[in-house]
Amino acid sequence: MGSGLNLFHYWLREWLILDRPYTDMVTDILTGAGKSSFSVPAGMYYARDFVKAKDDPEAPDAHDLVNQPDTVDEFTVTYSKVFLGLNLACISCHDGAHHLEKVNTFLTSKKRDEFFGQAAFFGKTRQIMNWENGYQANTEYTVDDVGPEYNPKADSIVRVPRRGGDASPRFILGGERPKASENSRDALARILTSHPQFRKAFANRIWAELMGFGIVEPIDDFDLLKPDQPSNPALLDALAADFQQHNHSFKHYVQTVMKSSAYQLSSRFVGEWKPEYATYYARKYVRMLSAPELHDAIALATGQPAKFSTGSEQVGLVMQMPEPKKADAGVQGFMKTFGQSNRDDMPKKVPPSSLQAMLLMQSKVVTDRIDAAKPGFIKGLLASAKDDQDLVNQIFLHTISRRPTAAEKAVSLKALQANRPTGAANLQWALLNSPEFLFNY
Amino acid sequence: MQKRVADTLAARRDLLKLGGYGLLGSFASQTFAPVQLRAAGRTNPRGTARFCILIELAGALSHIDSFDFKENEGTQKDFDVRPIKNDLYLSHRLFPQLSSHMDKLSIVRSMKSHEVVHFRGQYYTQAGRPLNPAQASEIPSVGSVIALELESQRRATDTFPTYLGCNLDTSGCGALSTGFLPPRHSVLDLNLKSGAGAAPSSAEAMAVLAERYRLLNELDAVMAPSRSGRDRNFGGFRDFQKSAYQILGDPRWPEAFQMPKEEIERYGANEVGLGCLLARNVVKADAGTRYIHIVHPDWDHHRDIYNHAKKSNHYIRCNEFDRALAQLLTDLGGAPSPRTPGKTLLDDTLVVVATEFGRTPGALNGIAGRHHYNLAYLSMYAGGGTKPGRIIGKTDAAGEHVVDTGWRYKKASIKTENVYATIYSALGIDWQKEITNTPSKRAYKYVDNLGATEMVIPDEIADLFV
Repeated sequence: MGSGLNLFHYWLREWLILDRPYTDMVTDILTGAGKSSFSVPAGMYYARDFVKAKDDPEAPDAHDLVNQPDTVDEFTVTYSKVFLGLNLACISCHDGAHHLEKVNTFLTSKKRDEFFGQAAFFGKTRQIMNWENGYQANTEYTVDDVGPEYNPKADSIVRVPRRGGDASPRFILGGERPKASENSRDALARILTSHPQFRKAFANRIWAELMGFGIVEPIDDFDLLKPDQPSNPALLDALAADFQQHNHSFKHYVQTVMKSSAYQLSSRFVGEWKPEYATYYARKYVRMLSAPELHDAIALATGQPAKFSTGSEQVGLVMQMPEPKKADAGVQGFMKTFGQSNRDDMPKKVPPSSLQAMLLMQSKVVTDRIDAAKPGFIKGLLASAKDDQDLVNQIFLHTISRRPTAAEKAVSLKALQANRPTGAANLQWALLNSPEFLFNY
Repeated sequence: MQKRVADTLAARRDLLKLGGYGLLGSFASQTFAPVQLRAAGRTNPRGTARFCILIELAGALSHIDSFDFKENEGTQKDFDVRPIKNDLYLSHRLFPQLSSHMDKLSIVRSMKSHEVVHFRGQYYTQAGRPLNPAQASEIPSVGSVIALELESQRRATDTFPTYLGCNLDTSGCGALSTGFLPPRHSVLDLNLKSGAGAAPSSAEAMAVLAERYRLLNELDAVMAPSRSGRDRNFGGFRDFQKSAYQILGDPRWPEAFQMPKEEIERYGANEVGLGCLLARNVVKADAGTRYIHIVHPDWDHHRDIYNHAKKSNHYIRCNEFDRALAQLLTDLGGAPSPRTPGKTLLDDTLVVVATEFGRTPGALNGIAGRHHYNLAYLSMYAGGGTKPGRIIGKTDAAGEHVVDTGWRYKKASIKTENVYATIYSALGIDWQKEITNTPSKRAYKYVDNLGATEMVIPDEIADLFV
């Protein structure tokens, strides 16, 4: 299982396999306490967002102390984006008025101390750095709830100075407060997971993942007062309601979307396409594979998995890694060029570029696998294929999931003439470089 | 006064929609209308350089131990400090090779920044303006603006991208995007140390690639009909493949990556060494690249800055940089310019050394290092029309404050904006231009006078040239 990030990854995987309600998972993350890297995977998620305090000239060796209010602010911005689809980064420094008029109508009316109020749910939460055997344990913290309350005048390392205001815990949407004697983080989990925006944010995010883009875009930056948002209010409401009615089951939600005729539409549109039709999802959205998808698709198509180590096990695909591969520079360069995500703060979008095309042609990620002599798909196929026709069919099926047309078959058979193994490898290379492989359509 | 610049590549505008890149984001759906330029016309760009190589020492160089040398409690016994000229001294231990090239370099010692955070400082160094989170997604890197400006000068034979990066991905902010500019002005960023995206390594590899590419084209010709009726961007990636192959198929490209062992040893097998070697080759090839941004990472020595036992320290970084820059200056200075008789490639190339801020002067801190310091730091220049050996600006005895800005603006320290005004000027670009049709509607000024904490004088550092 490992520790730290690996443990969190394992915990998420377990949750998905068991299909625990999403509300429970979010509650765990928001209320986790204990020793961050080992005992409570969810506590680790919060601990990672820590902001280091200033070095104390009186205690020159006591670096890596935590600036609590800044840390809480960072985490509040993070979880609000992920769980509520709201980007509170701007109002974490200043009122919305006179700043956000052209950026976000809803947040224009919000004040900085309303952000303090949201952050204050974590007001008493502390991260205490762990020391073992006289050494600071590497970024491991104990998370508990016995600190002082959120101070709206506390010094900041990374933000505009806090100048006071009402920092009593209250939810940014609707202002609900913890009940008497309710632990404020428990209150946060209760209020947040029962709020309609929580369901809508989830529904929108997974819809965006499956359909290519959200009913609200960007998915972590809803503008709750924008007139044309969501692009289809009835759809988003229905999706959110269905999610709630099925006990916030992730599996059920994904199944619902994938069984719909909307999801199963072809990317082919009969007639003249107009950009306005996009928000009606009138055809499947064509997108380039993400970096992990692309790497793994190449590994699977060539039958040559990678050899990555997570620290506790060996895996063959990027999607099985808790975080991007650090070593093996060729893979790293390839992944970065295609928009590598670390599932934390690196967005996975990146514009297309000539460098991407260059790497697909000659990065070792591809060329090392296009080798008829290496054990893998091509080598096996050369031995087992009935004849050249079968060889070509299998290469097409395995690489781009369809049979070749007559014209494609003719070109492919010709390619095998000069040298069968080289031709077969070249054919797979060409298919790996074709738009049909690179794109999800 | 508005000038319209014709958009020459209609089909590629929509390629921004590929890769799930924010389809309904504010500008992803914007088809790239012709960039609307407003030329302020108040500048006279010098146009003295055909190329510019910017070497970024990412993580922050200690100014008082390097090119603004000040004797202090942190000065190490093995520095072997020697006088250069006037009040300029240099540690021979840190910069053995550059010690004999100081006559070629000009130094600006009166820089000041508002940043103390790496990510933001390195963003500032790549974007030429302070980070504004509300606008960041639309702001292009300076290199992309240069690519836009110099596009009309590309010749039919040019295949190399106008803007080349080396190790930008190791910078704290990564390689910045083209923002609101069309994707074709994007940097081609190579990480030489990790070997990403280099070139076919041999004639054999070239032949294999050529045959595969031929097959790809033949196959795509019969596969293309199955794309009909679908998103036309589906096939749009083929344009990038074509331009990628143009580069790969140009024999000058693998030649630029030819790095015989002796040359690698001479320059150093590290990020800055390999970057400078590649930059030299690319400048020699003159095959389309005009602006090269090299990142030399890992200068951030908060602790053990001069501890020889540590795997990463200032000794190592200084020596790596010293060797690379010295060899670059030697090679460029020794190569005749094919354009102007009597001139060298160094005359044609503006070399700039930048870093995001300085490091705390005085004694080393409690963990034997130096922290960040933004009130005084430096940048360096060579070639490209600059006069060698200029020392502009002065700091106090401790290197803590600028006491003389050294240029015509007595009250204003020199900023990163001014560094870029200088680069634009050398490349012949009017740095007071503005682009008005941005997604946010806020005019993009090439050199913006609205600084983070105070107004910035949007002028070049003329004293480098006269």
